[in-house]
Amino acid sequence: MVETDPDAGGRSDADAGLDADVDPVPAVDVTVAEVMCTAIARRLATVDTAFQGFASPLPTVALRVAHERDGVTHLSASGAVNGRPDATPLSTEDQRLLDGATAQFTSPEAFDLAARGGIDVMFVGSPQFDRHGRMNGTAAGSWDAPKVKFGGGGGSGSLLPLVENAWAWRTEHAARSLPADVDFVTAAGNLTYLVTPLCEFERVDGELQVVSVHPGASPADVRERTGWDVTFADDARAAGDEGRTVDGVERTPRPTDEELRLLDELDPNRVRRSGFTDLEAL
Amino acid sequence: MKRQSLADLAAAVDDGDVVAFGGKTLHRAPMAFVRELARREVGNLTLLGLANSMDVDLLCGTGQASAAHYGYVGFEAFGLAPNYRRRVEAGAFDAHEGTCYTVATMLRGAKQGVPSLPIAGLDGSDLLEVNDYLTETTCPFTGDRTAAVRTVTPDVGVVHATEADENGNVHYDGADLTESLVAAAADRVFVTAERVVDAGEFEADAAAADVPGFLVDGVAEVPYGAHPCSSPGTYGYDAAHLREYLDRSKAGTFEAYLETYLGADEADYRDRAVDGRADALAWTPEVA
Repeated sequence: MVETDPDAGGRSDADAGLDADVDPVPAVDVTVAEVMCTAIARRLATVDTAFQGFASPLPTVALRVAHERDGVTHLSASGAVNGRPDATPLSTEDQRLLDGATAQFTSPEAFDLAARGGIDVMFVGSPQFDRHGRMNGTAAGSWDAPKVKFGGGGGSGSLLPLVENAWAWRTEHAARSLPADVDFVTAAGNLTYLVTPLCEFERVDGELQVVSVHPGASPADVRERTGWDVTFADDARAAGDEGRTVDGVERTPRPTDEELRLLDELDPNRVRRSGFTDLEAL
Repeated sequence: MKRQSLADLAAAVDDGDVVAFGGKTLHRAPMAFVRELARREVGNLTLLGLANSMDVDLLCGTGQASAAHYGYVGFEAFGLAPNYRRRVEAGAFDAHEGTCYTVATMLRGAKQGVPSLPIAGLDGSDLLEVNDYLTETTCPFTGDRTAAVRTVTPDVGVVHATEADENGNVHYDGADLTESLVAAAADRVFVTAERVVDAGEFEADAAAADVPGFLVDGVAEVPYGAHPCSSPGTYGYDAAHLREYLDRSKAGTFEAYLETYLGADEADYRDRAVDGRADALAWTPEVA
């Protein structure tokens, strides 16, 4: 599932490059990309089987961390089962993901597995997600008169209702890409989590609510840059521990030194940072 | 003996054909076959693939494709598919947008010789409204609600491979990227391979044949036949070339891109696009 800025004239913000210049800030050790990646990896710790599709570098790195650390089964659209290449490739269909893999399992086989309830988590990226957790990978505007035709949602339209949980990520947090209601529903279903460069959302009572705000961001930033009147989860606000919270909202933890070491070991080219427009040191 | 020239294989594609491509996104797309179609006059093609990139986009750029069945057309981290996008936004393209799973199911229907197949999922998706090949129905036995996909049998299936023999037995390094499904579903199956070996070379190891030769109608030897996409195990995708293609397509100079690179045939294309780049493109375990 491709992640593309709908207002960027069709230019993915990851046009920066696939070979040398994937990482926009190579001199910086910790950015929000590392915060997001470790947040996903921690959530995966108790999951049995998770699947990543194409154009998913950040979740793929997180899934590799979860495989190494917690033994999570990593299924990849590349066909790899538990691939362990020296470096995580930018294209997550890349056959280099088969290096070190224990078996091959093609994406149609993974779809079949999802259809009978065998996939606990799949990852989805998309140009738009709305407050209900629906995604639009099809078009900005309408089907009949698209302002911007996106590439399509890949497998998501089929899979969102089938998997136990779909977890979404975006490399940009903006009101136009997080509207109250998407222009077109490519996929709807069990999207239960979304992480952006500002915060983590979980779906509660059918609506995405903020459960933590990342270091460097504030609840006001989230309100300002989200297309609906954002709710902050009660349990986060109740935490109330200064240092762990900001304005009563839970802080997403920073990566530990050990987590950073593992990230750079599994992803030395830092493909997890591709697609981000304004990464800063944290 | 199924060995033919690439030109002969491409000449067997007729106006209005449904052409299915093996490969996924930037990997093992049958680009030489696509270029050979672009050198010819054939048009009104319906393309089919699970997740495509430059194969579908280039034939959108030349105007030879008028429709496609797909789950995704794009260039992953490189961005959207500019020519596909322009054609769809102009209302000049019949986009049968589904999911990778519905396209796989279309091919499974063809492979199994049935007119349609039920499929799990799609609940709540607007794709059910806009795609005539998808519908909701009920199970004839239980009455349960299910979605269903109409079968599409490709007139031609095209697969790129690492190696083939003269009898059409096919091997590709890496995992299956829907090639076996395309080969089992299409009426006629054409293979381009990085190298074609003598008949009998596969006899030593039947397990090496990812597609059995009896399913294949013609095979052509085409080095760099997936370029600028990857041919796993042989070369990686050519990031610089892909970027140039996208930049020129977005800048409205797609015709000039073709003028620069397409050439009279694949040898000409390699001279223009690949010459001197073998080392840079060589497949290595490390990822740039």
